Amino acid sequence: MIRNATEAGVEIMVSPYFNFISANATGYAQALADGVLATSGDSESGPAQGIGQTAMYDVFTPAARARMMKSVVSAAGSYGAVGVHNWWLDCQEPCQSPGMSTAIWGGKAAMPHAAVGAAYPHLLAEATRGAMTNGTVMLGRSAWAGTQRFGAAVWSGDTDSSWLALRQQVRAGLNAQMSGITYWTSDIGGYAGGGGGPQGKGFDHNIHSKAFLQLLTRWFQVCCWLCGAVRALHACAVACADCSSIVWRVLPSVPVARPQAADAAARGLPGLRRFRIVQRSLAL
Amino acid sequence: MACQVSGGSGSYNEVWHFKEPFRAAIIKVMRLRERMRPYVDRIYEEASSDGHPLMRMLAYEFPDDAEAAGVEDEYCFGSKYLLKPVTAANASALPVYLPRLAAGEEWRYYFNHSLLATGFRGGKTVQVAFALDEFPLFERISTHHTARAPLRRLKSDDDEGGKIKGHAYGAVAGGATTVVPSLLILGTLSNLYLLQLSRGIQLRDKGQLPLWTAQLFIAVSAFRCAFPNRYRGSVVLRDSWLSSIFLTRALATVSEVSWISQLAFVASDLNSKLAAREQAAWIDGAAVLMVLLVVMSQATVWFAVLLDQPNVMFYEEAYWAGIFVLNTLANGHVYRHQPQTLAWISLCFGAVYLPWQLGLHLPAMRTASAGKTGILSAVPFEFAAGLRRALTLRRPSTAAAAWGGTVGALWMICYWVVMPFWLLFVAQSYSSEASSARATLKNDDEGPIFGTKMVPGLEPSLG
Repeated sequence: MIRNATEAGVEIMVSPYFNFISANATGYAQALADGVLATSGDSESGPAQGIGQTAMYDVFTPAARARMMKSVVSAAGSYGAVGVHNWWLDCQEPCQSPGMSTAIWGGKAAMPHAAVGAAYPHLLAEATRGAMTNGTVMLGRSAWAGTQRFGAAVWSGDTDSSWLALRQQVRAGLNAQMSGITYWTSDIGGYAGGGGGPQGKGFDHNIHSKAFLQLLTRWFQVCCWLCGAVRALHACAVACADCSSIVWRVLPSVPVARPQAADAAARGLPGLRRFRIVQRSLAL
Repeated sequence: MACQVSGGSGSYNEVWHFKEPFRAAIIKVMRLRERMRPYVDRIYEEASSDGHPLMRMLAYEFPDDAEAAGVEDEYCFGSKYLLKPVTAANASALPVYLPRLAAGEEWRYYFNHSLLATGFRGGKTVQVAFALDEFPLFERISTHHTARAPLRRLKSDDDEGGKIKGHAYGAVAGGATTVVPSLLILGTLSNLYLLQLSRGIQLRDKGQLPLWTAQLFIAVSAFRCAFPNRYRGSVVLRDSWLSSIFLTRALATVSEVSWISQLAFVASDLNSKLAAREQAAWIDGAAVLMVLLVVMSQATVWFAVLLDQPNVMFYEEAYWAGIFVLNTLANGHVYRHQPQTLAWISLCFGAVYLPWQLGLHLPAMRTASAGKTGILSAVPFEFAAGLRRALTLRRPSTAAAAWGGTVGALWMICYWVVMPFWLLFVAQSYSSEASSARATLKNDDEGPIFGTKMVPGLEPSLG
């Protein structure tokens, strides 16, 4: 299947969860004992909860990094052997639930915890440098200035299917890009249906609804000119109870400038450019 | 690869699951994106090597444009495209601010090239109306390098090897090339020969106007064959100031007023030579009206050229139709009472020209110009810019499409090469030689040499 896809100009992306360890895993007790798991900010009693029965590695802890690195190298080797070089880093954001922050190596870290979005792709890039000669495309849900140099793209997560959300995509994308985060994208059509989410009234992904189809069409039109790296149709139809799967990736082999991405940050400091513009704007 | 969600309910996310017209609109934009691949590749390289973002706020691309700094709902994708996302339900029109471009660049609305006039450089807000499968998407086009580069397909995004900035995009779809504009130089020679012939014509009392008008028309035709151009798209053959729209238009104004003055003179004169009871008083009025119409047509075409309103050319063409309706009616009247060559030529011309102009050309122009924004382009009047453009903007091309294809070729040949023969023929008809020929004819009852062809029996009615 991978070969067929490659021949068709489509690249496969897998979604590993290197940043989690299942409570059922054989190494879980040892990890807990070694203190490589992030703990929730308001409790010293146990690890921060990940998805299901999982705990989250503290990506800033050297020991945790070493463990994660090992599994990444192993996975990169086996995936790479069959021609899969791209990671979809779902749930790589540091917060697992509202109000819960991750304690990181060196103590509580309200300030740097946003850096998890940079540290994790960095770790993967380091780990895969040897294994993946073509470089790696990473699609994640958080990013920080500089992550573009690892070939890490960010998408805006599970947005509402609403006109307001579409408007927000334009502004969010522009801000991300102007901040030097080059690879930014958005779920076409939004993700979460909902009758009226916090971001506005949604359309439930009812593909028989002309209102939703109109939104979807306009979203396509925006994303054609907005999302440089990756564009996903991440919406589910009305019959879909758990909107949990990317079903179809629009033009998945859109060039992601992988070789270039590797040296992007080595040469470019886009933030500086931004300051120049701010100065100019203020002067006007 | 349809979504198979646990539970087997399935999910309908593939483009073919969506109903029309949404499906077609989505497919259209996917194809657009596909065509842009080489362009996207390039802006990725820019991002990688120089740190330029892909999405750019207007102030990033146009730091000196004060108004652009405040625009939050538009952005550039790379340096070539400007987009205003449609983010409201049932939107069908939006105002779009287009930042001021440098000289040698222009904006073009991607989905309807006639929305903005040629050479539009922005610094203005334009109103854009769009259907479901369109949205305000503008291309920033360089007109600088077209002198050296051949015209390319406007919508082709695959000019690989070209740089992002300063790339060469032509005005008109390319494809087949044409040699017709180059061959028109033969028309220059034939017109110069006609001019030489005209110098031998001996004037008699009323012959001055037909001769001078013919000479003006022939001289301008010789020039236009040497430096052909087309106003729409500012297409030229030779990249010289002599090809400028302004110069051509100035000369053409002289020659077209000359031509119609000659026709009006002939119609009036032939009418006056009919027997008193056969003369039609309205023909004199029609002659005046013809001249008036040609003056109006010149005003219209200058308006179109200088104020960037190509669609207004429709009215110019409508005036021309009016001129030849009048000319055909007048000559029809003359010919009915006294069949003769000059009237016959005018009738032949009307028989060919009027069906084409009224039946095909004008309706086609109407259709083409009747965009969603009406006959006036969504461009503010800018006289100075229009004048500058008319003086300096040139897009050299030998693309057949740029020259109007077969119809354009026929038009140029007929108008600039064949028509001068007609005008010279008219002038000769009023020469003293023709006059003496007529005198001879009267005496000897021989066939005509020039001008009036006389049918036996009608001859005495000649004045």
